[in-house]
Amino acid sequence: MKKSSIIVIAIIIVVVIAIAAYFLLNNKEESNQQASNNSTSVTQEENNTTAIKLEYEGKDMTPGAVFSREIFGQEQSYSEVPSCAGQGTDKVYNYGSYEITAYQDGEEEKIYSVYFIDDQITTTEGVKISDDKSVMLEKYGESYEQTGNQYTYKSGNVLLAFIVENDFITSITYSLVIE
Amino acid sequence: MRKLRIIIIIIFFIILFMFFTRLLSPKYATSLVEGSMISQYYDESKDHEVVFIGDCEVYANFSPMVMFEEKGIKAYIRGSSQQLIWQSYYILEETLKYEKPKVVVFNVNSMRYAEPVSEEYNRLTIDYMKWSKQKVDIIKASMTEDENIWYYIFPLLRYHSRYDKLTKEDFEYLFKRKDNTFNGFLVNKNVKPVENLPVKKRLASYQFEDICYEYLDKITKLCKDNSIELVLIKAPSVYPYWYDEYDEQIKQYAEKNDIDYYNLKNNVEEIGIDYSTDTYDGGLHLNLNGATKLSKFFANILAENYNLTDFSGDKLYNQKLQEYKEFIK
Repeated sequence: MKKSSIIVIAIIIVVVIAIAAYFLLNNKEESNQQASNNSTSVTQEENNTTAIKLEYEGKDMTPGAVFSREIFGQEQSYSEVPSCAGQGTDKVYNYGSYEITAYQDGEEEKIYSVYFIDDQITTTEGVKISDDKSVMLEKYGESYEQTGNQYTYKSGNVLLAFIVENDFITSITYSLVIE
Repeated sequence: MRKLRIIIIIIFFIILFMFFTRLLSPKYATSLVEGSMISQYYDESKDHEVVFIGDCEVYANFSPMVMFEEKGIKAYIRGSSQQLIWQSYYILEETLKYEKPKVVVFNVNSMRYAEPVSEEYNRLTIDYMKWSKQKVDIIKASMTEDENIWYYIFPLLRYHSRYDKLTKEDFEYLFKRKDNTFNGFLVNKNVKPVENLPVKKRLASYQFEDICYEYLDKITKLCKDNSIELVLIKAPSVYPYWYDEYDEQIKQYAEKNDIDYYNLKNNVEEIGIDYSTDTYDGGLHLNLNGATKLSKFFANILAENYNLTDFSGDKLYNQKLQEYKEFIK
């Protein structure tokens, strides 16, 4: 009787230890993954210095860059868009020709996306809304991903998307890739 | 004796496992209350003639208690945050196991989403669904790439790391649940007027994806097979933008399938919605004031067109109505 009880208890202890080990290893993997993500993020940011950047009127507007009113000045209009279950809020700053959506990253706000509203703003390479599609191809090449009439260039953690209608660019958006 | 001891030990560990599962799982009682809505339905009376399914645009904008007061309608809202169309389908399928309403109202906003948005939103809808074939199906259909069905079967695997994030709520609601809605309506009395909205962005495509149509077809068929009148609506939220191209597709679908479709944004004046006072978050959702106006308006549409019973004298519902009125005072 005692022998079989001991066996059952031993099995339970082994199961409990296995579960505990699973949790510990899982946590460790999560930490490693997080560390890996952080280092990837740094590498990608480093890569971005030679990849897709958005600089306009001397301001770094690349997604991921720091946003503040001290840098960008007073916006024309501001809106906050909450998510359905209150899981975060998008802060949207409208500067007339472009709209910046920012997210909170610790103490700082960072740029999540930049949407061009009209042809008064150009990409760093000089492409603007109303340009011919050929200008886009000339400046950015053929290594895009096409979804319908949207052409997306990816570099590091930044996406640059053009919508082309009747061979003319009608929309330009920079956005951050969130893994 | 030996067997008994073994059984006691096994039961002890099962109870321990269940206890920690319950302790470490989010309770959605006083924070992120949207996660508690799906389970509240199970304890309700199952005699609703109208059931709403859909995302936040149903649970924030329609008040069944107002509909009861206005036209004696017994309605229930099986809504949840960012409820995707395949989730609406399985929730409807589950609902039909309990009752057979005369009318199902589906808010079409989710037609724009063809992929799961996030695990957090999935959890708000799925965590407290009762185990059933529908729960398994909804999990399979909703999981993001990083999710695993075992994390839903054994929530402890998912939530074990919450041990250092436990709050008073986790202990207070360890063995009880807090009902946060009135027949699925989540009351919000705050006022935040519509002021500025983000620009209306051009989209690469306005065409709803095949998977969304596939589930809309399933909802339509499920209703037809059960002789239920399906009604499509678009709640009068001003953001996110409901593009004309979206609206046209729903109109065509409704016409082709002989279904009524109401884009309630077209009736804002008639309803009397004032976006400077009737919304709690700048136009995404209506507040209590706005939802009351919309519910009265829609109750009239339902009563006039769908042959519903007038339950005005129902004792239970009158009691619920009094509780509702006390709450919103």
